[in-house]
Amino acid sequence: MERAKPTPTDLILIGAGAVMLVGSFLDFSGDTNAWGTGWLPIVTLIPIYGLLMAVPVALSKLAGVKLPDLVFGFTWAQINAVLAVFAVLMSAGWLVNSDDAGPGLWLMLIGSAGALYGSLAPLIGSSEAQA
Amino acid sequence: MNGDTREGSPSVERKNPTTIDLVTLVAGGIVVVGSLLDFYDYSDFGASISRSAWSSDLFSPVTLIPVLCAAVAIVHVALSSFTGVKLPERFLGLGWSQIHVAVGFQATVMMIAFLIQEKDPYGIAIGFWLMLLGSVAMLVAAVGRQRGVTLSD
Repeated sequence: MERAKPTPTDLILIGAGAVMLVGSFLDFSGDTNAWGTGWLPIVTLIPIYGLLMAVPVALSKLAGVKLPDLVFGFTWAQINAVLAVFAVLMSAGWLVNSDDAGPGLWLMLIGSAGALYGSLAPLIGSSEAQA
Repeated sequence: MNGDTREGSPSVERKNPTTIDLVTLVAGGIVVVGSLLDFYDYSDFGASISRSAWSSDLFSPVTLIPVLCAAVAIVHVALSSFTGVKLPERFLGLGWSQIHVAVGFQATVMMIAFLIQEKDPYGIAIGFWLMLLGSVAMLVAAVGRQRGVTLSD
């Protein structure tokens, strides 16, 4: 196994995924968390997206697991960007919809925003490098 | 390739819409139309209540994310196929065929999540089914676009 050194954006993605997962177990709205009746699985998509971003990065950069370069025609950086954009959109949408947003929702929004930064920074950087 | 990638100056080069383009337009249109019809409904003892995806007392604006996804797909196909506007080849590191897959995937996943969500006492209404159908069709068309499927006209 060849372990690559994690970059700062890798660590941001892992941290953001962890924040989103922790947030999903705290109150989302009212006394229910993101895994509770009525919110599963539509709200639960947010921490699931966080895990889908963080776990591959952790596996490849921390555990040295070799992952395929492309998944359904997407690089991992592109997958992370897509998931992060939609995680932010969903978190922000629930925040607008909710009358009593709990700490879980705020944590998921913060984690999503962190994931968006961590996923877009390498893509934008590579685009500028190509230009 | 050099002739149509001048930075910052979209050129006008109209191409005929493919069958995949037309499927994307129809599928996206179905999602948009469905969003205007009843998403959930509830009837009991003669009383009937219904909400569209745009209703603020349902889950709007979350229910509008599939509509946003459809709008992205529709606008891209309309601009590139009917107006001939040359759009940038990539946006945020993604090619347009990848963006179509991404929005089709997101719309489909969200509609399936709404489908299996516990929503008692509400039931699923016609607008919901149209949005689910259109989302799946968008995803199928997007996968075909990415794989370069060409259907005979």
